[in-house]
Amino acid sequence: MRLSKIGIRNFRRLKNVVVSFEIDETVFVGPNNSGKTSATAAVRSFLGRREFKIHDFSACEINSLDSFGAGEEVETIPSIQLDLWFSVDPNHISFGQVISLSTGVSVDFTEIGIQCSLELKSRGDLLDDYRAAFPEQEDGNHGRSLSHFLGLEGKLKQHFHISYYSLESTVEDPTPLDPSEGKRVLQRFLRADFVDAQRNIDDENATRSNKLSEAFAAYYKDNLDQAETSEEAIVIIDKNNEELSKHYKKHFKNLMGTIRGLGVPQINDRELRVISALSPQDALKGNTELYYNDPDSEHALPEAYNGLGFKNLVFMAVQIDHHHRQWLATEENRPLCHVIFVEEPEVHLHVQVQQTFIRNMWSLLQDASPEGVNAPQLAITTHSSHILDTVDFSKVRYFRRCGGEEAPAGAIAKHDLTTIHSLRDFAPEEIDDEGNEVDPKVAIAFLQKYLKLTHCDLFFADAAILVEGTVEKLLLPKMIENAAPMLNSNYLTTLEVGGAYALRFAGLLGFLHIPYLVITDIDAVDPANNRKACRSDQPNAVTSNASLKNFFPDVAIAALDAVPNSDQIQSDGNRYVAFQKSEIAEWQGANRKFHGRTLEETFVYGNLLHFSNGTLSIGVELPAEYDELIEAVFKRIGSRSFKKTEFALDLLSTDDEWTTPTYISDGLIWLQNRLNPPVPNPEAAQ
Amino acid sequence: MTSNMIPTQADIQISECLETSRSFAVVAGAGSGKTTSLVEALKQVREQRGQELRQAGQRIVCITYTNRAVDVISSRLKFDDLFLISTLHSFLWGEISRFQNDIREALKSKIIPGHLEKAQEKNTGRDTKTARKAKVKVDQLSIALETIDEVAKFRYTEAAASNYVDGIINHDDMIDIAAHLILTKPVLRKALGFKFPYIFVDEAQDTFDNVVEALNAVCADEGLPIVGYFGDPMQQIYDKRAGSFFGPAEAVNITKTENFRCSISVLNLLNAFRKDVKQIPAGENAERVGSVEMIIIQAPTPTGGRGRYSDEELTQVTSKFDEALEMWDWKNREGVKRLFLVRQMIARRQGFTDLHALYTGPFASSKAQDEYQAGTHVLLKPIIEFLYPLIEALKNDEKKALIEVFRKVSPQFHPQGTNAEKPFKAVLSQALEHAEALSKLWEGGTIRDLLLYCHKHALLDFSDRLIGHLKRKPRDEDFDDENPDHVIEKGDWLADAYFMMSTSEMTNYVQFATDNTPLSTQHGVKGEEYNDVLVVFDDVEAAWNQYSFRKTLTPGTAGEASEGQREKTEKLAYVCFSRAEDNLRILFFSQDAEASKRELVAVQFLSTDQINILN
Repeated sequence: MRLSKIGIRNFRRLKNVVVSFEIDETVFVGPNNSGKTSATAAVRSFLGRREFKIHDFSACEINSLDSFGAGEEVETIPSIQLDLWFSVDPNHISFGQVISLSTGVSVDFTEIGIQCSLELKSRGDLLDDYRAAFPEQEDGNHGRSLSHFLGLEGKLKQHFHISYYSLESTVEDPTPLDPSEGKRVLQRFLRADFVDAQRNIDDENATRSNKLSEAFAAYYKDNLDQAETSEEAIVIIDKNNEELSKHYKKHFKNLMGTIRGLGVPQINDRELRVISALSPQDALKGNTELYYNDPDSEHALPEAYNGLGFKNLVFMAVQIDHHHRQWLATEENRPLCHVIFVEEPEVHLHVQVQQTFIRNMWSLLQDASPEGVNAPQLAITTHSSHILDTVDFSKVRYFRRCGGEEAPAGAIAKHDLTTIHSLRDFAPEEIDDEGNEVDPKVAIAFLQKYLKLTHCDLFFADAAILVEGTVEKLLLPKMIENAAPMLNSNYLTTLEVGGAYALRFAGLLGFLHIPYLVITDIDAVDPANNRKACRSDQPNAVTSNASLKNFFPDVAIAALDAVPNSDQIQSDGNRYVAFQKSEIAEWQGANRKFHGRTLEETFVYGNLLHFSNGTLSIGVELPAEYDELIEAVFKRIGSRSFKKTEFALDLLSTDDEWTTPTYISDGLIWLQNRLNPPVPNPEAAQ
Repeated sequence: MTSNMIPTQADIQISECLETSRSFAVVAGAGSGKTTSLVEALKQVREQRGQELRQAGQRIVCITYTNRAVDVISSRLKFDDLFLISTLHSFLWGEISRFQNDIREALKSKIIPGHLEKAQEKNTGRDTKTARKAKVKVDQLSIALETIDEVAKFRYTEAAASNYVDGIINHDDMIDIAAHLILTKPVLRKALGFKFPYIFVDEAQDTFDNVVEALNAVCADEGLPIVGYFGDPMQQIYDKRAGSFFGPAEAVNITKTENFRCSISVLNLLNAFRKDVKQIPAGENAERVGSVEMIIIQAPTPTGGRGRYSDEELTQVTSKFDEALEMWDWKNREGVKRLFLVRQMIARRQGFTDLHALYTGPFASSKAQDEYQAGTHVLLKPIIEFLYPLIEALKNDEKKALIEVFRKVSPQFHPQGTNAEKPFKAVLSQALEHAEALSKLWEGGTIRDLLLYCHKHALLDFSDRLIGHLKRKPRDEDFDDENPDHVIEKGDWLADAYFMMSTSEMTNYVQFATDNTPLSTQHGVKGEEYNDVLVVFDDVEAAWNQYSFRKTLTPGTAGEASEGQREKTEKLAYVCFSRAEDNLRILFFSQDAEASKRELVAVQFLSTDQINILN
């Protein structure tokens, strides 16, 4: 049996989310404060490993509680809920347990769930207790809100309790379970362990610096064959600690071997050893210390002298293995599912170790599992694109911050909620830009390879900018500085994908609801002349840009030029497609129309003064005659001898203030407003 | 019986079945140490598979017949959670109660239509009581069938009759529903098999046919789950039970031939009486000769109408009984268990015939009758738990016992009660005062007077139901068993009649109800054993036509018994005979004593010197 998905409601920013679980590992990613840790905390709270606090309720539920406290009619008192769904094998022994959640035996089923719900015990009791603590004052208020009252020591626990329900895919409403039965069933179904991010291994404090030794000692105590607590053992210890050191060496051999396999470079030049440091008095407490042994000099270094990354890795390995063995060794009613939540394993690890982390942890667990017993499911929270690089898209769960229901006009859309997208559900378009069928698997593989090669941090960004090429990428920071400086406070990721592939990313970004700006070129070609590149002002010119062809109905340059700005905002306001349009500029004393074909052309037209006075250059003189100028620029920038990257570097190194091309600045300003909605001025509104 | 016993041939066969995961059925005669074999089998599974089962959350279930057996087996296994020792009813209800919609479906498609069909057959439209009752039943069932979809929840209760409209399901229906669901729902069978890979059934002969069929269906395939039955078809003495039982198709049939209980004499009788199993003495009982003797009493031909004794004849019969005891010198012998077919016979000998008549009469529901037999009926409890022990303590001048009675039962005298703060002396004198007053009422008053006194002085916590009976006016109309309102409220007439009784029969009843007499029904001693047993067979006095000891034991003299009579009677006689460890005495009332003796000797039931005749 496997945990297949969890649903969480009203827990902090997780108003109503569903996270599906893979049978092996599931990876939670998302920007900071997107609720990844909350998802873990919800599971932990309902399994009784953490106490609920009043602020675990979502913000709007707290308001509803306060309204109730103020004496208003409230239809439903909020409850925090966790749905745990399991996939079931009807031909496995566990089916005998599973049936305890079913309410019928007439149909076969392969899925069943249990709902845990933190609910108010009694409206009357809560109000009485609250009003007794904060009596009504003359103004009709109670001085403090009900949520404040529930925040007082023990009050939440006193007035709320956990109810349990069974969930079936064929039954609409959850069926209540007897509370003790519910708790028992939950414990029989699921064991969850947690390897937290705060592992304290970098604690400089001397008393804590032997954290790792403690972990080894605990592991020894709980999981390995212990010396009998007999007098004989004390005699042995008394006689020769060395014997015990050998004993440790023997028993830790496998674990040490595994650690060696984790790919830590320095493990090759240093050897781990667990040394017995027992005195007869505390002989049976299992007191061990961990030393690092240099085989050349036989010089042993205490634990505190080793690198943080190494300690972290070993610590996690020991913990995960410990939890797994504890579960394996459960003598009675071993929980049918075991899930280990690992939070931010990347801490202090260098890139190569991060990349092999999941694979190694997985093989460690596989090796320790007896034949026929499932290894635990891992749920890994990470901010590391390197860890992400190594897992299949289908295992990724993307946590996205979002607003509640559509914010009323003028109000700020508060991004205080979360939705979760499972990339298992992501299906790319089956038709590519040329109208050919594409195997979705191939399309996903492409995206994944691309993200891996570029170490892209797409999953952690507030927004993405898809650019045509190197020049845009190089110039982008400067252009942001010039045109939309507020974007500097947002996490942006830039993807250099070119017009042809931007389309492929559109599907993924749309799926993840990540706002993105596409900066592309209009790429005019002559349909009458073998679709060769031509000037944008050629009347019959069309675009060769696959993305533009897809995003807009008409491929004629003239038609694209006429597209109003509002039509460039697409995909429910999540996408802005920026491309060159014609502009009026002064040239030789007259207002002339210019329409750049690429960024470079547009850049020249937007900064004609700089290029004509020689402070900036494209390597040729600009002719004075308008038409010759256009032709010269088109030819020069289209020629092979034009070095785009050098051009960009020149622009970056000049002291002159150049102007950002309008189509780009328009796009950047859109993105700036999209991510940082202007604060409405209440006075101005009046 | 200890666990280091030498395994018998049967035990070895059972052990092989467990190791090779095959179902089996053990026929084990009386005194054969069936429970020991069962417990040893359970222990073997624990030893060999316990760790695995525990880890996977699987359990070994053992279905027994009575709560008492549950306690005995549980304690022999040290209350290990690996085992679910349970009565059949609580086990089945525990497994199906969650499936409310399936229960509803079973009622709709199977159970209620079944009852309806039977009622329709009796609903002849003629103006007879049976037909009128059947008509009422047909109407009720039809309404139930129409409204069953609106029933929110079905509960199983010990009520005599199901009330489908209120969601109440009785014993028999629950068993039928469970068997039906197991037989028709593969999902349920699978779940049960995974949850309980080992299913043991004690007293298999008393399990219902459809339950045996259902359990066999769960264990039909090779390997686990398996079912193991333990029982004795000869000891099936309740109606509608399996009797003979067989495991699934591939199951191994095992017979346990040892007898560890009965003396040689008793064993000889059992082997003469029973044809399918020949028992051999297997324990220290091989050394005990014991004795079996029979007296055939020449009984009068009954003249009391409908084949019953007249009062005069009854007195005559009772005096013959005493005479017979004299002949054996068993008149004052201590510890003899006396077995009668019906309670009526006991009530007569013990002296509580009026109370017995009341509780077996038209005012008593079958629930009230059961509770009367168990001594738990709401009207009787104040007497059994409080007044009788109080009067006894006062009579014997046992002050401590007297205070104990008050403390145990009376809320006022409870350690945390209203009198808790008062000095002991004051409490004692108050208790004595009440006891004296109650003692007076016990001598001269009615039961109503006694209960009113207790209520007035708040000596007892009466239920609302009892207080209601005490406070309302007695029903003045006559009881009419065809008036549905009367039927529902028949408890009113019961209470009224009871309140008017004096206490004269109470001592006798309480002693019987609390098992302080050597008298017992023949049905009530199943599974028990006693050194000396006296069995009384008098078909006329018992007046229970389903049984005939005369026709069964001496068909040549008394005429052939019907098939049903013979089977029932043989089994009950076997149960009675096999209770005796050492000495067995049989008192047999016959209208032709000489002929009966000749016939019994001829069939080698007993030898001629074992049988005497009392004219």
